Amino acid sequence: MDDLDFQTLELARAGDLDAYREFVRAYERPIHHTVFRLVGSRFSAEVEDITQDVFIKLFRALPQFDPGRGTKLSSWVFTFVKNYCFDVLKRRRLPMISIDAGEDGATIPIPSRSQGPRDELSSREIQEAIARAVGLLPREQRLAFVLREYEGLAYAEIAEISQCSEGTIKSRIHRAKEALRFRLRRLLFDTEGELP
Amino acid sequence: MSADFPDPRPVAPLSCDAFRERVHERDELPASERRAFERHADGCRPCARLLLEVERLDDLLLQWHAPAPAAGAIDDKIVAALRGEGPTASCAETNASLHHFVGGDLEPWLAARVERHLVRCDSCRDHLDEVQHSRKVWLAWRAPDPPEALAERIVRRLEPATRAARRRRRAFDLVFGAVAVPRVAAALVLTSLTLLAIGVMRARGGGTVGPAQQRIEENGDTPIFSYGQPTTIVPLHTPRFEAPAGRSDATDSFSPALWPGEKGSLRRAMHGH
Repeated sequence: MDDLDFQTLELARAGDLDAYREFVRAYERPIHHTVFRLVGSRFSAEVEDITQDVFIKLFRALPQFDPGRGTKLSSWVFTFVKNYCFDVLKRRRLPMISIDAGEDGATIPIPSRSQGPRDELSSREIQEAIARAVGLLPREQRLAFVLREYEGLAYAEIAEISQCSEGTIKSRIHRAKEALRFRLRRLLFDTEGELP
Repeated sequence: MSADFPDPRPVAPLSCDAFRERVHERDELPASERRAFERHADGCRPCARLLLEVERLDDLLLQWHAPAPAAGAIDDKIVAALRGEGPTASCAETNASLHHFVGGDLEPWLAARVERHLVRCDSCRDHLDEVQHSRKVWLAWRAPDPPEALAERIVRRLEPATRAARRRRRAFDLVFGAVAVPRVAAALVLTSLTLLAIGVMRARGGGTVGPAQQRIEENGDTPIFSYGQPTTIVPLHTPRFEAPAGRSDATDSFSPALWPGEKGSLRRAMHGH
């Protein structure tokens, strides 16, 4: 993700809508993707609305962003994304996900065995299975996992966004990956115990 | 729960797989699961060994972000590991660090230890294969791209708010803006000084003498009132009308109708010309 050039950022901070349009274009993809992955497939119809709301909030708060403090713009932006998405999940009263959920594989829709995951990784069923498995992660784990694996943020940045230490972030990502490996195990095996 | 009064509720037994899944989040388990976890570790030797290894690995992970050692003070074990010497990682340590290893996030010296273990351990190589495949699966998850017009829609939503903010700012500038402020301040100072001056004059009982009062004083009459002195009621100086020639009835009353043809008699009577 490319940070904006200084001049555009300053204009956007001053309320210039043309500069803010550039800002939106620079961040719309990562923010839209992250919102989609954080709020889950259950709210897929509202992802665009949530993304718009995030950008509106960002525009209002942009004058308060101080590049001199050493905070990266991307970290600051994703902090807003995190807070807003967590607020959405809280408002909708989504049930807390137990770490046992999906352990037996029954809660995750599994594509038919005839489909080899290597051949049809982009098939809709597999996409849904992954979305479901990621959606079962506790939200802090999900946030760290999504920002690291899909947006490529550094551990230090994720730690800043999550307001915790880098060690904690590494631990959360590790746990998330282990949980996903268990939950997606049946996607990986064509036959019991063997990889396709 | 106090150690003297152990929780009497029964604890559901934990399988080795479930133990393995929870081993990295053991500190965050709820009390009931924590008891099941500990009971399993007490009774299962391989899992107890795994727990020990994971605790060791966690200690290593915590050292990742320790301050960089001064030159020449690098741990000999780290140097040896980087050279491919020294002890290799155990199976538990390898399994616990495979995700970071596959993601390229493991410190080079730890990665070297794991690599050397993988060369000689078939079981851990299988595990590595599974980890690589699982990563491939979740990386295949595609999020939909935002619609083309998203930026325009957002800017369109912002325009009214921006206009309102601009209006507010303009109104503020009008009242408190850079140009208006000195004018307003000057007007306020002027008004204050004027009021102050009036107040001081009243307090001293003086002031400028107006033409009406001056005329009264010149005529030797007592003024009706003056500042700071009790008011005295005095008869007004009223001119007496002299009867025009040929008329003997001097009167104070005035009626132009009495003296027809004597236009201007009132003015002459009052002002003498």
